[in-house]
Amino acid sequence: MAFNRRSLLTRGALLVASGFLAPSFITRTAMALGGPTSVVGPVTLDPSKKNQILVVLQLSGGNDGINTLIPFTDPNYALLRPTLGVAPADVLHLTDSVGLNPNLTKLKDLYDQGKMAVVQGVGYPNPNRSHFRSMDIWHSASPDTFERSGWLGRYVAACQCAQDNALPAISVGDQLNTMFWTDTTLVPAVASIGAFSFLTDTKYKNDRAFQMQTLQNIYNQAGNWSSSESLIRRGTLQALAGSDELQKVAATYQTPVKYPANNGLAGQLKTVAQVIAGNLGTRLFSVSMGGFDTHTNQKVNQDKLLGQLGDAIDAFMQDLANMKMQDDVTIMTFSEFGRRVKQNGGNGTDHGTAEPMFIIGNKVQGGMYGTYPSLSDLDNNGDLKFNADFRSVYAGILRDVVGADPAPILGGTFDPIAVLRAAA
Amino acid sequence: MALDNPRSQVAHLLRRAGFGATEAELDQYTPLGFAGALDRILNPEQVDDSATDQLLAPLTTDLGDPKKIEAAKFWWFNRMLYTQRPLQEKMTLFWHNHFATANSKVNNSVLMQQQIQLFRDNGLGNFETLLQKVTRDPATLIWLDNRLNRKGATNENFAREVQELFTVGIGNYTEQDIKEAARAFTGHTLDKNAKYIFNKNQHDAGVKTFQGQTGNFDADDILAILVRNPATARFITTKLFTYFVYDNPDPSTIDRLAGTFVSSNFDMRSVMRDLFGGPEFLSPQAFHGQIKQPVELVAGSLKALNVQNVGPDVTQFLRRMGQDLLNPPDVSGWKGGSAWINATTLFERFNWGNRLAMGRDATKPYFADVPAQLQWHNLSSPEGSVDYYLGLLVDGDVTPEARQALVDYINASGPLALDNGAALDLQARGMVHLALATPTFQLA
Repeated sequence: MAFNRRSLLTRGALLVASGFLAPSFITRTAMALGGPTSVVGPVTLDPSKKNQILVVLQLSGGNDGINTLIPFTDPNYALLRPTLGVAPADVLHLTDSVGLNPNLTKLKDLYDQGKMAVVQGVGYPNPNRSHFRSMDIWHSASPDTFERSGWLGRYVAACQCAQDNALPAISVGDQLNTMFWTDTTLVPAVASIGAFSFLTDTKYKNDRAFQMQTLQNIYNQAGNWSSSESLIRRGTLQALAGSDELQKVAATYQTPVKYPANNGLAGQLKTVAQVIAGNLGTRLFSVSMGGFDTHTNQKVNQDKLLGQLGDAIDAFMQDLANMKMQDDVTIMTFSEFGRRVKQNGGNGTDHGTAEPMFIIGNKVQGGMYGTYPSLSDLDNNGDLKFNADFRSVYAGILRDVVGADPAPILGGTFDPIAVLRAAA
Repeated sequence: MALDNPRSQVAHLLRRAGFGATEAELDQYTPLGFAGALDRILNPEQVDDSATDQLLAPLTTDLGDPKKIEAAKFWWFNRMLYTQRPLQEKMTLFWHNHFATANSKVNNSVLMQQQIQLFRDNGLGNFETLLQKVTRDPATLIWLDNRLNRKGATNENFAREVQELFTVGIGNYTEQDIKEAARAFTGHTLDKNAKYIFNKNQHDAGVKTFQGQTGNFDADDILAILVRNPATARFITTKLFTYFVYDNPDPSTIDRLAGTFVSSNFDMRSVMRDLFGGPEFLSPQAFHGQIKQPVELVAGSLKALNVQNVGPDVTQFLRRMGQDLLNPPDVSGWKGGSAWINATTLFERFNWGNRLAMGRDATKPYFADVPAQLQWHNLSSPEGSVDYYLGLLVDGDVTPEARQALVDYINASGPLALDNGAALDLQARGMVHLALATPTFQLA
């Protein structure tokens, strides 16, 4: 319909009556709708880290660490993995006793350039071999008690950085990674920047502002909402606040870097690069790849995945260098557990325990950390005994990259590993 | 008031035990009363569903092709949408989520459909029988690798998940129980044609000690021990209650349902009768007390708007909302509840509503004849139109302010009249989009 003068005026009044779409206004409203207060007490922040960005890369399913970082001189390796073992000559040697899977040539390059730290034998006491419980443990950093909130979520809740920024952290993908969960502060999940928008009728473009405003009027309302409705209301307001910023980013990002095709992780890292390029103040990202639950045909499946992992990280690092952000970004990898030392009946491996973690970045203190768990001194389930607590790695990441006192966030004191070079 | 009259109770029942309701279905169920409606849905074999079979016949062309998984998803969604046996299909979806198996690994649409049919045939039957059939189901044998579980070279994948996720739940077994159960499951495998066989030569017939009992256990012995473990009765009924009613049930509620599970000899129909017939189901806590699954949101909106023509891309809408049918994210299924909600899935939900509100072409998918609905009920006032759709979509359960916001939206561009096609096309469709985007419509 054609708008007459009177209806335009009326619609203008509708807009003015209820305020504007400023992100800070919306996020404050969303926070006001929130439930309980922050799950952690005061956290001391280190402002010198305010430009540092962390990308947590989750390998879902339980990556076999033993065929990722291979103890090729240990006689038990070949013995316990008669068909799955990689021949010593094919291993990409990092030291004279351990090396990388042959499909990780890109990571070998980064290691040789001093840009990759390898933490060996990471785990926690009384390891849980359930995918779901162990992933919860890695997300919550709470092995002994059930804790709903995630370790990085607790940081976001404590840093107050969500007050004036709708996007202090982004969980890339269509599910929110629970490492970002708290009851108080939501972190948006973004599957695709292009689709991160409230669409309205394309036939009536002018109607969009009025629909948006009506939506806000409905969602802004304070009330004694159920926890489900509160989540929907806060999530919607936050999504609306972040949407416009992300749409602008999508319109301006260009890169000469060719990200590999048919590689889901590469697509996710490209989304991260887009947001970084847009300079929105987003400092924490999670990305993930699945398929690591290799109970059968491990060689074919894991080789392919590790190749994709290396290719994706390589493209992302090139893109960061291209936008001159290479000094500000650190990547950390983890999986919910490593796998059984002895191969199983399906040319695969069953659920296990300790695993290696990789930390990658220009300023990372590269090299080998810790010691490789012995393949002859296994626990009574036939699994590796861990040598490094994953919370020590988190503590190093929080101190050196995120810039936050690790103790309140991790609920205890863990000796932080040195993640970044001292001069950095 | 909510749930204090048969129509509201029946609408609630069909949201939870089914996939929502059309106006015609509400008209059909309401005279039965809540008890009569519950009887009807609990006895699907007494309801003639041949009309649905005929309606779905044109969609069966590609179902025999193991590579065409999208055809299988689309057929199944249409069955959810049109079936006159809503609980049978909802239980099928519940078991698909419980024994979660994904085509991403099975890679065979025919085997996936076979498993779904198993759930459809046995979903309201005996749990032990269902578990035995699932253990022998080809898609399961591929998905959890038991086809490769052999004497002397075990594969623990199925042995772990059958305890952690299908029966007793985490904390109610040891790592040693997993190793022993894996031995008992050896030899249950597939032949070259993906048909279940028991290969005696690969079966470990030796003595096993499992959950404190010792014997020459085979697969069914292990399953029998698991089903009779009191932890299973609580685990299954807690999961059912959380799925169909609300989160964090009172322990006394689970005591009652677990008791029914045991006393009925694991009869799911008895458990479901107790669950829907119990005092919790019609309580204020249950009313709009759950977050809709994507299939409930999508099917519910199609039914409410009386959309008859669904496009094959409906399964892509569902996938982007986080529910890719026949492809749950992992063996624990979709997390459900609050995990359905994040910034991305909220936009997907709202944008689905926009797709329907824009469905103005009768020759194309998603034709939503909003003007006809208003004209049929002779509703030309902004308040009347808003109240009609809020009644249909959310049982009128919105704040006065939200209702007023929708009325203001209509009024802002002038009068709404039944003979004003342009107004109906802009204001009425826009209002429907916004009503579909209300917080309450995201709730079941």
